[in-house]
Amino acid sequence: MPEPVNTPPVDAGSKPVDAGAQSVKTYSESEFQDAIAKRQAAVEEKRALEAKLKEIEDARLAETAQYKDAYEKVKPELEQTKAELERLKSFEADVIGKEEARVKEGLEKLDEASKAEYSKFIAKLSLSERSEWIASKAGIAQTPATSLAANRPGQKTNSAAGTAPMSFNDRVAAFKANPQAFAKVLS
Amino acid sequence: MSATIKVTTPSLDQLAKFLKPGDLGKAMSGTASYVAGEVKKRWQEGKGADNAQFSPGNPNYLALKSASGRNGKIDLNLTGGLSKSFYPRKVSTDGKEATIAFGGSSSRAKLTKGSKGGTKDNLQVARGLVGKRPNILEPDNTLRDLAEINLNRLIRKAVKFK
Repeated sequence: MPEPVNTPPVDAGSKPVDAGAQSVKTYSESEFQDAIAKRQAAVEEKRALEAKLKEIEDARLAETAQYKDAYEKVKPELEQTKAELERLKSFEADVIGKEEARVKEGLEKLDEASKAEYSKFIAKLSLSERSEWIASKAGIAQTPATSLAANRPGQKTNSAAGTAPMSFNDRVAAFKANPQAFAKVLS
Repeated sequence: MSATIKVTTPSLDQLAKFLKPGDLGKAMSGTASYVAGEVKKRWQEGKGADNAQFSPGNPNYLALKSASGRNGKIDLNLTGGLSKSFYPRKVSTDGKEATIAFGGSSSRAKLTKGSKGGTKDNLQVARGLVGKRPNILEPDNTLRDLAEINLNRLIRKAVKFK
């Protein structure tokens, strides 16, 4: 600790000392050198920390540069891949669009073809077979009273009327008399 | 971008207790003057404050400098105005930090002539230079050691020994 020395002496005959006068503190050389050494240690510690910090910062910069360099190297390839991806997306959309149109068209054609095939198939059947087949497709029980032929448009439902079901010959006659109505049922 | 050198050092309290109020600030100011002088010497040698050679300059600038009768090297001394404007400008109230900066107290001193004619604000020029050559204002450990010695010497002068 610094110790106050050399306080101005007050002579009895001299003028009164100013109350605000400061005492002069003096210090020993060793005390000062000790403080210098302590501070020097603090300076060195700070330098070491700064050096460590710089080392970390340099490593970070080097790493960043490395990544940047690596990115620059793959950048053209990346750009090319991006462009290729865009091209593929556009191609995919184009292909899907065309394929969808083709499938739609195909389905329409297929539908027409199956209709024609169906007509051919139906034409080959005898009237009873036709009736039976249509009823089976429509999920109607195979009884004369509920057969589809018996429920053709324009015909009264015998079962509903409570009368006897139409005979097969009657139904053939009805079909011959109005084949268009039968065709409507088929279509 | 900052175009200054902050002169500061750790644990000044260790020495401040030996001084009268204001003495530490004077010592720091003196040290800052010393640092500014040393830095300018390095600039004249074509080196930064870190004592490393400046990166090569623009050939056009160097040719222009040679043609005007000056040395054809990068030494931040086209007219001398910029270098002259670099000196300690302030010391913190606690006396623990001094700042060396470019500029000038008068509007004339703030301006320096550009290589393409006309005048530019010193600070603006200095910021541009620091951007190009960061080592202009980055003292190396040798200069920092010298500054520490200088500061200790100035503090020692102010201490009253038994």
